[in-house]
Amino acid sequence: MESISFFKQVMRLGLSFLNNLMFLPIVLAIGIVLGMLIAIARIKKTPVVSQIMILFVEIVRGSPFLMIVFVVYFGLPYLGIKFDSMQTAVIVLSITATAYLSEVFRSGFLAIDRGQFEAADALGLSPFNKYILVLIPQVIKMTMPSIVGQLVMTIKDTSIVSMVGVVEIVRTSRQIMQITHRPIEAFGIVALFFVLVCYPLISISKTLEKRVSR
Amino acid sequence: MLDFRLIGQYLPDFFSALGMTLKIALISGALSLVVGTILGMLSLVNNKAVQTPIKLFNGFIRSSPLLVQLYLVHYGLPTFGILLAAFQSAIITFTLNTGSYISEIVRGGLNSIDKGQYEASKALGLSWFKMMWKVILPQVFKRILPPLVSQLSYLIKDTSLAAVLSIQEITYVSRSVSSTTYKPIESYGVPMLMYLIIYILFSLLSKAIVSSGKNPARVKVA
Repeated sequence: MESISFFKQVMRLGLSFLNNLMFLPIVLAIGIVLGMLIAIARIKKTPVVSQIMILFVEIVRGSPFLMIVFVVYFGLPYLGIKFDSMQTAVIVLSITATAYLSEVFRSGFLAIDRGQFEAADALGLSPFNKYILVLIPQVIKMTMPSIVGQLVMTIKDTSIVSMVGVVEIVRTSRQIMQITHRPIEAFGIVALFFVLVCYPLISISKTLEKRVSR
Repeated sequence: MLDFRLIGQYLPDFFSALGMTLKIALISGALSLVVGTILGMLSLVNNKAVQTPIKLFNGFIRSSPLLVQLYLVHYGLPTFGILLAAFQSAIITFTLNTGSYISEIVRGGLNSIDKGQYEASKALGLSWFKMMWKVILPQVFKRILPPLVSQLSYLIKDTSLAAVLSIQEITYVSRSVSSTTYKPIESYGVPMLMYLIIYILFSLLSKAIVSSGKNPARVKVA
């Protein structure tokens, strides 16, 4: 009896962990696209836009994730901007990923040899083609370890959006804990699920880093 | 418009919350330096029985969310008869978490020290403890100061999770003020500003360290 229910609880946790992972594709896509745009605006030193972006990035990097979640979920409704918990999760995870990735990409652009910029100009590439064909592929390749690192951060951050009622693994584990009064098993298994996904990713990031720095 | 009277009314609460955040960060920051240094040194001991547990511990800390670690400590340890107040759980969790990250930084620092330093200390007949304390660690800490400072600035942000255990630090207080006053801009604005000022101070500090470290290091090499 006990073992069946234990197995059931693990299954339940595993299923809700899929909710955590569901955020990743969209958050990563938004983060990479917007992060790249911000990075480009900043290296091109576009007036006004560049300053606003610096402000945005520094505010996000300087504030705790939970605080941003509270501001979006509890604060913005008073200003007439209402998001449900799922939307809040996607928005805050994307904002965070965008801010951190923009810094990653910016350092990538700064690391590219000036000759690449000049060669692209000399070939008469339009600014759009210069970035799409020449610079962005190099930046992505160079910053791959950090992109994977950001992926791990995002996965871990999904645990925090349970605070505003998103149904995901940590929320489920709290409910299970309240029924079973077995905190070690409930939270231990949750941790295990995260380790199962994040540990390999961290190893991949380290391997990539060695390859890039070679 | 901003309601300054309201801000003034709650300012004492915000400042005591800031005090709580800084208290948690300072205590767990100091403890994690100790834990991190010890773990960092132990991880270089050439013995699988020492290295494997540390590797597992670091892997666990790095690949699981801090929130889950906090729950494991706060709700998990009581099943072993260790009853903890929320504040103690927070300190223990943040110490173990930051300590693990610091241990990796320390390990990197120890690896970067020239082997000649170890040999020279041995040749001088220093004991292992004296060699570490007087020769190796001072050099290590000088080198790893910039990553240490940024690790501690992450710690400040991480302390916001203590709100989950109803500890009255900045994030918790801002949430409770906003739900009593219905004034989100004021009640989240002030705490956000507090975090930002701390963050700016930390990045200025780290910039100062990096730029001051540049010249002396070169002199020493020459």
